[in-house]
Amino acid sequence: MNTTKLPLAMAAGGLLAAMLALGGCASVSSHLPWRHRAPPPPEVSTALTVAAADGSAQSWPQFWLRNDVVLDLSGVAASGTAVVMPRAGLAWPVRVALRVRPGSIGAIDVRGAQRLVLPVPASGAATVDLELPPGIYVAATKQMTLTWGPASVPAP
Amino acid sequence: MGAAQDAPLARRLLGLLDLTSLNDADDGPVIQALSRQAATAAGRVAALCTWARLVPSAVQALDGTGVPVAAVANFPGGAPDVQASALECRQAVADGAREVDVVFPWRAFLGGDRDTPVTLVQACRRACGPQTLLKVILETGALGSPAQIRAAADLAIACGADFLKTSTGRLQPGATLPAAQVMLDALAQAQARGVRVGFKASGGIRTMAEAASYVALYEGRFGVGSAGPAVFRIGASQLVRELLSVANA
Repeated sequence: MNTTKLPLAMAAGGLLAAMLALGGCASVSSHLPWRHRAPPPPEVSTALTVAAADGSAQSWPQFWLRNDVVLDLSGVAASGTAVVMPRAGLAWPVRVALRVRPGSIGAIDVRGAQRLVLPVPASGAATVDLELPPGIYVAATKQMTLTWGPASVPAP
Repeated sequence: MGAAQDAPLARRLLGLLDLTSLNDADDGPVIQALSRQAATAAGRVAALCTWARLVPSAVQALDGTGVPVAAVANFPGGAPDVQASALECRQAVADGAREVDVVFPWRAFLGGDRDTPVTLVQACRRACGPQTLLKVILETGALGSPAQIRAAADLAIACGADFLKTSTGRLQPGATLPAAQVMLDALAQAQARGVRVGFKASGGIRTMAEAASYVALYEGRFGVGSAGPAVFRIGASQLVRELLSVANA
């Protein structure tokens, strides 16, 4: 037997035993990286329909977060226009938010029952949800037009 | 707590519990799973509390159990958004909610605005109608001082609240006994005028002992045995496990 390797083997064995013991302890195991449970994916929403300026349907991701429908613009081009409306037969969701990636666009011009220019942070977290304030759309609003671009106020 | 002699208390607390799940990504299956804890051999909870959009799932899952569904509105931020808050109330009631917990616009209130809180609570009262319980969440941890808590409580009562509730659970501190005491003072004064308004403690209540301390506080004010589900609730998401475990011991 190679006695010089024995302390190393014992240390490795001890470390393994400690890891197994920690892994068996419920209060600790949830913090261990191999036990970390990913958050569940958000529930997909179909409450809104989105069309490009030419009328072609767009498949922007949208999902439920709390009581909001979040419309994900994080993958859109640097500038563009789209029309958002409730899916046929449905009313507007009570709350709508736009998810954007800071720095990817400058601002979003939202035109519904009222007009609002939403500035997009130039830097920061991976994505930001901008909740539309009250009055931007009302029950009678047929559609909202979103125009975005690199400038702080996109051209209409 | 946890011994067999605590089982009657656990069953009593279970009947006062608003079983709650308000995680950002909750969906129908989450609420259906939660509903399985709402009515068991140990008893049934006072209500199941969820997002307004998930009321149909909850109503379906609780069909036949007798457990009412409660929805939150203007949650968790307490924005001064009268229109959306009232719309959430209307939507929840139309979908079958029998109770609505609306967040008081506490930032506006702290800024000296009284019109918006009055308008918002009154609009939610109208949207709920006379048959739906309206609980107003004061967010006492944000209101801070006893004087502000008391003023907000009096305003909510005057605008038609059926219950005053301490906290959303999203801000620290959540429920505290001193804040609850101030709210109970307001409720007692209303009761002296013939207006009966209930009390709900919520926000950070995770153990049976904590829940029992709020029952003791309430009954110290209104009498032993007075804390029934018509006037007293505990809002919690984790507590149900301990209650069911002890109740079934």
